[in-house]
Amino acid sequence: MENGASSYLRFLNGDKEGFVDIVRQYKDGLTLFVNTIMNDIHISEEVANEVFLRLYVKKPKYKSEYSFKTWLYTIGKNTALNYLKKNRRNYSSIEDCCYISDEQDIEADYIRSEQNLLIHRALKALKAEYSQVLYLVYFEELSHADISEIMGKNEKQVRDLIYNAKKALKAELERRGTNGQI
Amino acid sequence: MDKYEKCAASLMRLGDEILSEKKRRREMILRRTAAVTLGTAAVLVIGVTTHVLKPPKKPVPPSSGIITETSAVTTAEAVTTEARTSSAASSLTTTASTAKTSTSTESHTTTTRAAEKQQSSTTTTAVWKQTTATSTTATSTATETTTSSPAATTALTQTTTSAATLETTTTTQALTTQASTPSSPTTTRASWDISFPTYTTTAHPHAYNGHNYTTVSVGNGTEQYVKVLAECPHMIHIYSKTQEHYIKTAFIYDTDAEHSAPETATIYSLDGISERFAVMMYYPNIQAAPIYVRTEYEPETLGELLDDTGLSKYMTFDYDNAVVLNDEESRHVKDERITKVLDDCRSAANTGKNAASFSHDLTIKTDISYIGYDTTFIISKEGYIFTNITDKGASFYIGEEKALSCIEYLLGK
Repeated sequence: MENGASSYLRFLNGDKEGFVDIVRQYKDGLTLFVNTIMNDIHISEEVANEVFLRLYVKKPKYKSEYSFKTWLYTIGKNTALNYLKKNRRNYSSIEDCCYISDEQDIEADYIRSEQNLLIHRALKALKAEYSQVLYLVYFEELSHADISEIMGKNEKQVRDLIYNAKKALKAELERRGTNGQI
Repeated sequence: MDKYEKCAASLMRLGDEILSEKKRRREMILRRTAAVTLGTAAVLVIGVTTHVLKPPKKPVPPSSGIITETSAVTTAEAVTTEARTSSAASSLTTTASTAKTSTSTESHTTTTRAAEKQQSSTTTTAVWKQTTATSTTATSTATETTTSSPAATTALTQTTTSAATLETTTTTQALTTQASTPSSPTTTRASWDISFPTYTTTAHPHAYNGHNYTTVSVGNGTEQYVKVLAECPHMIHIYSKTQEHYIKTAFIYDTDAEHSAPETATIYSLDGISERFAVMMYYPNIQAAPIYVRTEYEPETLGELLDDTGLSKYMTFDYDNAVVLNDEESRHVKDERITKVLDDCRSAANTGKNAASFSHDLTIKTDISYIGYDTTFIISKEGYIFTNITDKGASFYIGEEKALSCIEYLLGK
């Protein structure tokens, strides 16, 4: 599968299959990332759909200095934050047209490893920032530079944030009865 | 089709709906904008076209009904209308009682003077310096009649309309004179404010060499004017044409439709009187020679006034009550004393102050034949000598000490 950038370029050139590829490639990951902010898988899926709809309608210019995933997740984060600011549900049309999955389905589809699944579920008990940075590190496997771009922090802040988030995750896993090894 | 394809398809369908809605709105906005733009453009085109096709706006004459703007020969008829209108107003003034007539005349003159000032700068230049003066204006004013004998009935109506151009001066005058030779001396005073020479026309009959004259007015009653012109006492002061003392030649317009052709008038200087103060104009066709007193004249010193107006030559005094003290007590004072007082103050500068701004402690009544109206010198203990000889009046400062000494000298102390 080609990367998201080429798919988006194809879409911008009029190939709607490029858009389908983007949705297929990034929908679950974006939904789970947004869920670290929204802490509601259904709203997170709505927000993710809103991000894709924005790509389709407004066709924003892709910044090639970052990876397409970083750029897309940045849009997702901003969209989620705007949603929280507005604090209202106005995505009913999207709900009507999109299939909204259960969180477990998404997790099961996106996170294949049992251990990662346990970790992902433990992230929900953490602070939003901790869960975001750990999700981006362990599930999206993004670099510190990309994470700093998405979260709007510098790389040192991201490293400190990852350190503290790991400590919090370890405590949460211990509380859940696991050995806390991640 | 997997769930991602379904989701993408539903997103694309929703996106297409949003895009089509945006496109529809954009087209609607474009249509509205185009309609507004076309409408505005149409209005602009109509406005510009109307403006272009509109004939040039003619200059509006001053609001005063007695002022008529005219240019050279072509507007003679329009001037005629205005002059006649003014004549009617003047006639009304003339028929009033003496006291009321005087008041009315003053106010009328005041009214016209404001308009006259707008024109005076150019028109005066046209007459005196013979430089460029293109504007022409006609102004008529009031007529005042003072009859000393109850038997004498004099009604004088005079309207003067003048026009000045670069090298010629045009004057239109309309007259309606109902005059009869009085059996007793009659003083008739007529004045006009006309803009082109900006002089007050003064024409006044006097008893002279045993003859009585009713008027020196301008108009169609030429026979009377011939007589007056030939025997008017003022003519003795006028240089003859052959002596080449005339100032310039002017064109005049007879407001009578039967005499609409322009005619030549001649402006004469008066013997012993500065042209800055007064001149006489002789209208051969209508046989009239009114004297014009310059309304803007403002002497710098009392000596200049005495010289320019020829007072030493023409001024006489009312011997019955030549000097009035505090507006109450009248005394006879010898001419020599009055002349000496005035001569002693020749260097006094004109302050331009209004006579109402200081006390009137002593009044010298004078009679200046060619001016035709009563004149006075007022001495104030506050140090001023005021006179109404000039149209604007003049206040000369002589100092309190000298004023007191002048008053005491005139009173014979």
